[in-house]
Amino acid sequence: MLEFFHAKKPLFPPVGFLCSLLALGVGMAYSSHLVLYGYIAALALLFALFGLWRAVLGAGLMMGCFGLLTGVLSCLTAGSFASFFETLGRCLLLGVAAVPMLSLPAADMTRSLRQMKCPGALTLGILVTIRFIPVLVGEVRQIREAMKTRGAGSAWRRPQTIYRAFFIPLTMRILGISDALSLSLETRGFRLKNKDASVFRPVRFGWRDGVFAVGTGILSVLLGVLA
Amino acid sequence: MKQKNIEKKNPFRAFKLKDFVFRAVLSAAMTLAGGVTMPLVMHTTLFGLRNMVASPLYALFCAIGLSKVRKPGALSVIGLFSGAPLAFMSVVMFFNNLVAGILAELLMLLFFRNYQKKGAILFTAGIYMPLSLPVTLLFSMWLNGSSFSDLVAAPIPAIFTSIGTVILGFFGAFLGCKIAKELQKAGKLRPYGEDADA
Repeated sequence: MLEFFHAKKPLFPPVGFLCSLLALGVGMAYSSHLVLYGYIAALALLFALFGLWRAVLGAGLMMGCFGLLTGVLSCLTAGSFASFFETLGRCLLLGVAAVPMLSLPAADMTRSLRQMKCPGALTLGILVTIRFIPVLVGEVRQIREAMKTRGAGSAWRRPQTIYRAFFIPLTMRILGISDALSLSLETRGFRLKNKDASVFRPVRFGWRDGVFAVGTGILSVLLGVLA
Repeated sequence: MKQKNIEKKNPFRAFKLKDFVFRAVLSAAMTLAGGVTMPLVMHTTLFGLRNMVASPLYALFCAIGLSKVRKPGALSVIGLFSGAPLAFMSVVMFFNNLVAGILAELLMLLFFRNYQKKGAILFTAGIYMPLSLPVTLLFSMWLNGSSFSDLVAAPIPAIFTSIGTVILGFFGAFLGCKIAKELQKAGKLRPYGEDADA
């Protein structure tokens, strides 16, 4: 789902999370100043230099379009151009601040959480949630195909048909998938309280992550000084 | 039956692996539902409209999840799991889901103590999305640059969307309970983990 945004050399996940939080928090605090645009541009440049340019482009474009729409609406309701620029800036900040997290592979995040002694059930749950969204998209498509075959394809306006032909089969599939998955995990020896479990390909903190964190920190301090 | 009685006596028993897996797959379905409904209303600045649109589907899946895993903490875990994919896009949305789940469960513990009664499931699933409104209020005030006094000055649309969120939330929860009841009758959904382990 988010593979397009993944960097070739991902960041250390806690660094990505904290930098994302820092950028959003500091940006929010100074969101009414025009210098916010400079902060967003500097952050985007820093992220692109660290190989996160795809995520910068994707998130920037998406939130830029969203910001333009929201900004126009905000301008019309508030009656001033200042509110347009403020709203656009905030939307761009939301997109750019999400880049360090957006570029992280879910598996790296899970491994990192396991290394930090996070309970196996939670890391497993998070990974299953992220991995099974495309699986469920496929299931929904199959159910819709089945509805068409049964002559209920154009029945989206009839709630009773949706209930019977869509929601019940979807719930059945969710139950079936979760039963099969938990059976599979148990037969492979997965246990919730397994202290001896090792982490495959552990994620390590490197100098690159340190430089990235320091760079984000310096930009945030600069914003505070200039605003 | 023995398992059911033990869990009814002590609702705070630890979750099993299959409980976590079921809630994780259900959270994936909730995230997917959010992904379908959100683009329809994401460009609007009207407070509460996004919550209102997502409310029935989130409540429906929550009610199904709580009908199977009737243990306190179940909704908080669903909130955590469904918030996890959103954390990659916005940390605010993650906290929105998690905080709403915790608050809903605290209220359930206050009024019902456990999920034994159908009313407890209906109540908790129904108020899940409405409880995300306070976080949304703070966030939308920041995003739109409006203050609380601006909202209070023209409160009618916000009141309508908030009431709509509650009504649609309970409607979705009712449908979820109905689906769960049908599946229980058919022997496909067994509460209290009655189905045997692998």
